[in-house]
Amino acid sequence: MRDEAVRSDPAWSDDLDEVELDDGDYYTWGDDGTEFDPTRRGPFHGALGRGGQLAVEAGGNEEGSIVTRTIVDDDMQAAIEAGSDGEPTALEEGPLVSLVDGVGEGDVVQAFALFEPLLFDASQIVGPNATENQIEEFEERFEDQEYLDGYLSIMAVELVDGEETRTEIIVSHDDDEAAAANVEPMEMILAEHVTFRENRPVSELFADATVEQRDEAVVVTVPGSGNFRAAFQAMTTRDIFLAR
Amino acid sequence: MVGCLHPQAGCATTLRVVMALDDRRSIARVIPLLALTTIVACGGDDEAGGGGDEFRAMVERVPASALESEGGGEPTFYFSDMAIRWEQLDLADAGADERLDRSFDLSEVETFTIGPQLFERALQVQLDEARTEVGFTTFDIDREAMVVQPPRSTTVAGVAIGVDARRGRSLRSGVVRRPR
Repeated sequence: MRDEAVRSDPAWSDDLDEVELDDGDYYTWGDDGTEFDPTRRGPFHGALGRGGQLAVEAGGNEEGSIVTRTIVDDDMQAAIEAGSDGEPTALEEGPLVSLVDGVGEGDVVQAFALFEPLLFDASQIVGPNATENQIEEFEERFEDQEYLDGYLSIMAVELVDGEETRTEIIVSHDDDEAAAANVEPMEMILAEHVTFRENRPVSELFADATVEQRDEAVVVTVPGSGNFRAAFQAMTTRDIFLAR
Repeated sequence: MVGCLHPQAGCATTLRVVMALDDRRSIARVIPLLALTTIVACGGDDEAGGGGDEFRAMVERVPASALESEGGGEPTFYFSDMAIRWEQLDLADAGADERLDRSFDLSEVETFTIGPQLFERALQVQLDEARTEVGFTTFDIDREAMVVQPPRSTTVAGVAIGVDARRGRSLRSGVVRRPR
């Protein structure tokens, strides 16, 4: 069904090519997936109508498949060769390793990770139309807030473990010592901070949260459902877990 | 509602969230969202690591190179296990059309679900169009891992539909052999 669809799609089949590698084949539309043609929009090719690449192989569940989608040819080739010599996977190398290793027991339902520390930026929080005085006033208001020492990356995960649901926020560091130094500041943030945007106590937002160190990661565990959303929003708006 | 899976309700808000995420980097940063890299894996505190086998298996399919920062920007990683969500709604064996009809019910089990992004969120309700393009829909995706770094993205997804037999190598444009 999938191969037939790709080959017969009236909007894109004229641009279709197939690339064969030792480790797998893939479809590609056009030479540059970053170019777009909105006249050929669709759910897969997007509102902008982009070509890019698609690989399909057996896998996943018993009757399923694994699909890889990229926009740039090099990324598809890297994905197909991931795990082979010279092309390590994200589980073997890079900033996701320590985050994944920091996740606790259970099955991840959803995850969101940023690979840089969240930095306080008053102008971003106050808004683009704020005056310098308003920004200064805002900075003074929160100058006594606790900040984390520099960390590497941060990931929020929602986990199910039997009948229980919880959210973990994993903050990774260079080494165990750097992580240990951030345990107490993290506890302070959870106990005493208010959110920058809504002035809401973090202890209320993440009720019953606990902090522990897992090797080079500091992990905040929040029991119950509904907390992944709060963690996601805190990360995307740079509202909590900020570093100096 | 922020970034809810339901396409009719969530597309605009999700886009706003993603734009807010990268608002320092111009609207061009949004473009890569349309083409993601998805990977899923899970583990625990056992020898295999935390998060569950499925989560870890998906991460293992993402090349480390997808997470290398480029051009002053940093990548963003997303993961969703919709098989768990659909199971929570007793829709594990349901088809894409029924899941679409029930997608508003996702909020019953969790107030926020990122959901798969391999298909553009604003167009995910177009099941027939998706089938015309590639033969499956967003509601056939069991789990997905994605790395976005505009204008690039890499998405790996486990799909509940199997691989069909290919019709030979008679592509109109011919077979391209481009060993790396």
